[in-house]
Amino acid sequence: MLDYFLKLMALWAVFGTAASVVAYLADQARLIHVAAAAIMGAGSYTAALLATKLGWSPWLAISATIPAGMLLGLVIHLATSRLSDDYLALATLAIAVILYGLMQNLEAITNGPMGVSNIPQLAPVLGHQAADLLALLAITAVLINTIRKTGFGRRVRATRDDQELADNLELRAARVRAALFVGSSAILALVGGFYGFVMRFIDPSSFTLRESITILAMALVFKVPLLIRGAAGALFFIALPELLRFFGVEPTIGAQLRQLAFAIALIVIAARAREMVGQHVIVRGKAHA
Amino acid sequence: MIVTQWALYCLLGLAFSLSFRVAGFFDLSIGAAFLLGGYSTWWAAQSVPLAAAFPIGIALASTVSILVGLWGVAPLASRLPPLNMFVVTLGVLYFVQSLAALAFGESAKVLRSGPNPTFAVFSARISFVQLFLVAAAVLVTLCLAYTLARSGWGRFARAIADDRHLADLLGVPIQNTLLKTYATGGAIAGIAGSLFVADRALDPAQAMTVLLAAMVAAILGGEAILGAALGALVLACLESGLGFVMPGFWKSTVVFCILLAVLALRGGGMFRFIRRKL
Amino acid sequence: MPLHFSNSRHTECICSTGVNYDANQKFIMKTPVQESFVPKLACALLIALQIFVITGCGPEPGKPEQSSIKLGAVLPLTGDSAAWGEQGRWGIQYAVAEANEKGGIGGKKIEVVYEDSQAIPRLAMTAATKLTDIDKVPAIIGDIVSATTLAMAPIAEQKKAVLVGISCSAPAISQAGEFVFRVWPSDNLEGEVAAKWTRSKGFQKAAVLHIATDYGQGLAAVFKKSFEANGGKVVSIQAYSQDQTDFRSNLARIESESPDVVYLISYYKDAALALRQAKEVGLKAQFLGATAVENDELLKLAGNAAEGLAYPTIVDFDADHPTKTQSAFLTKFTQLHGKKPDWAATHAYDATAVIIQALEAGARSGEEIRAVLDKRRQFQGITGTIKFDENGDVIDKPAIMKTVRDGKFVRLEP
Repeated sequence: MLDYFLKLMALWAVFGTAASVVAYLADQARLIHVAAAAIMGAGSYTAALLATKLGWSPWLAISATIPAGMLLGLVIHLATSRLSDDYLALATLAIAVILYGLMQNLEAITNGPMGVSNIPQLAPVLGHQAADLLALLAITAVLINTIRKTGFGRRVRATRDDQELADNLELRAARVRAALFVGSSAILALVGGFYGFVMRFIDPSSFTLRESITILAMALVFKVPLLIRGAAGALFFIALPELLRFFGVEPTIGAQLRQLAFAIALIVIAARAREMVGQHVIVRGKAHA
Repeated sequence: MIVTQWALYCLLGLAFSLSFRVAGFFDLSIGAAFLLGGYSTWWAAQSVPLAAAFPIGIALASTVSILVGLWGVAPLASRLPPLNMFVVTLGVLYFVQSLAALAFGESAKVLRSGPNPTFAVFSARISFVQLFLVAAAVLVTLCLAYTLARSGWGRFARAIADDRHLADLLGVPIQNTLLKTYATGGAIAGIAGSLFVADRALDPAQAMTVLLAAMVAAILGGEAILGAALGALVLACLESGLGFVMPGFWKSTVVFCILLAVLALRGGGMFRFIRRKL
Repeated sequence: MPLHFSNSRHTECICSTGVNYDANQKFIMKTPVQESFVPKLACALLIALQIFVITGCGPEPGKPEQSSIKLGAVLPLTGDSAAWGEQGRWGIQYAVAEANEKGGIGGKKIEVVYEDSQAIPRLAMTAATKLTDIDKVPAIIGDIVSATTLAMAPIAEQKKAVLVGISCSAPAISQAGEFVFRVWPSDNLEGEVAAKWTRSKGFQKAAVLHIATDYGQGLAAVFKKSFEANGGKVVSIQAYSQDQTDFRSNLARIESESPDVVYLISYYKDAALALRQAKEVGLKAQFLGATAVENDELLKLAGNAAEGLAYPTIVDFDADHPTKTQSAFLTKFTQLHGKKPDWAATHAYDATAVIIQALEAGARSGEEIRAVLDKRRQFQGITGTIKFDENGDVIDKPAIMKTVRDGKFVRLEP
């Protein structure tokens, strides 16, 4: 039974890391990221394809996800630099759909819907894969928590709270955003790479828009300190279905009930206005010419 | 046919555009209204003749939309920033989707078993439902244009879309107008839904698909509320054209790339010169 | 700083916590947020603890269950594919009940632990891990969908438990491992049968319209290869994404190429819509479908537009001409569940039957069951004989062509 528990821990760590990143963006930068799973997928496919088709060693393949993620983050930033708030959320939604489309349709590279199977095993560093991933989760959580107190973290909050003032103070909002996207995409891609080695099989269905929205929900559902927010949310969403396994079989309408609960959760979370996406003092828009 | 696709995107795009431009947030509950329209029409059609099912279905959907708007969306929209409303309406969409799945099942529903009756137009054949769909889209566009241009509510709506702050200062009845906007948007989406179930097959998952297309149409259309009609045309032509150049499954990817490009370059839409008029 | 607000979206939003704002976020904890922290954290810890406790309370290692033989089953019991998951479960239940009635295996009853995969690979993987790690099953029956089966394969290999796929057709499964078997032939068979039949009827030009999933993609490729190898010509292959409902532009393109046969590789809903719309626009051609269209819903949706649709079924189970055992199965199944068994039920039965027969041959552990399957390679199922090749794929399944006639699915005379 240790195996099962450790597998769950590994999955929890993967999604917890992703959720932590999204939680930071939502809380500190008022950036609703609806493409987390898609970027994970990009990292996942990068690592998996390098390992299977090109025969790279697993750790080498995983390390390739970081530059890949950073590049993707840069591209996303370039596409969204002029956007904010809900337009930005919509843009990330578009990116999620586009990336999914690429995964699903670039058959020659990604095998399309067939996915990538027979992904080799990843030799663990800390004794077990779950331990490696928990370490990653811990590092990420501590990282995002520490960043808050740094100068960069303050700049992030300043641009969130009063865009115009930030611009006037030359806080270089654009650079801040670029850093946020590059950094978050790198971590998401990295954790996606690990995900592929946990599952040993990936296909586009693991990285749909719906999955991205779920990760967003993980990042928002519990109003606990930022350090553990992502981990707590991920625990809820990963642990709950597994827990239900031990309580017998769900009725066939289980999925619809789950979605109902999910929908209510989304509404409740978002309706709790100020707490959802950090404190914003005044929202003053940029006038269009 | 391009025209049929245009009609669908036009209706939903306009519905979406109303909330978006006037109320100022991405209202995904338009997809919920769409489902309501489709399912109530289907449900009505199980007991009454088709001709009666449509008005009943649309009336039902509109009523529910208005009620939900009145007690749900409107109070929230007045105090939440647009970003939160985006997530709230996403929740509403998922909620209605799961209700529909629980009530009617996941399998597709059609109004009529088998093809719809058709008639010949030049060398092509189109069905009566397609005709209704196109006619509805044209009618709704014209009516909306007239209403926005001439009626009191229409003027208020345009004022709020332009500059809510200023409109408020000038004494425009914001809440009242917004309610009417939600109601209209919901009704139009309901019409789209009932025609959709007549022309094709409806299942809960369709809501998100058509809604995303409607959003793209509305944004492509630019700052104007009615721009969605033009955006729908561009979208329909694009989808059709793309089908000749590349395999069909690339359509949504390309469409969203274009959406992203539009967003990136403008933050607004393509037809900015049309804005402020309608 | 312009004074004119031209876009009302960005109006002032009043926020009374302005005074509380502190870059170090000291005051933020004073909002109601603080109160919900402790109970939520406690909740989270409890959940983690629960899992640990429960997993610790499983059957003790090293002590085999004395009273029953446990098997595992992973199916999409909820979610999109729930209808098939349900049928699959009924099929498994039937096979197990049948065996238990005959006295079980050496006096012990067979017990099946069902897990829900929701057709999500990650959940199938955790389900398989739970079944092999906690319930310690030697064999797992499942899944209906290829992706989830592929996700379970590494677990089966690692834990040395036999995995028998029910209806997964992806070619990749052939290479998924020694412990992986399936009772549903690879896509190759269906595509070839369709191609051969079409050529034998003298059709020359074919247009393919397929769903953009692994199923559609694989079948289209196989059909094209086989059709052209037999002298035909595939004039176009169009793919459509899963949620597409309007096929008119695809059909217009097909019409412009005037093929004599149109191969629709899709599930019943898309096939129905495509057939309806084809009839509306007046496209005349012989329509060919995939096995997945054999569903009463197709007839409901497409009505008379489905008349004449031909499709292969790779089941040796013709409900109109059943053998005695099949007849008994049909009657009893329908009595129990109020619905006729579909391909998911019959193949789930088959997958279970294979394992049961291995158990009857004396195998108990996963490794032993695998050895029996590998060595014997031939078993009896409800659909007929199940023969495995060296990859664990089923072969030599006779395929028949069927059609829709007068609103019913009937066998097509050769």
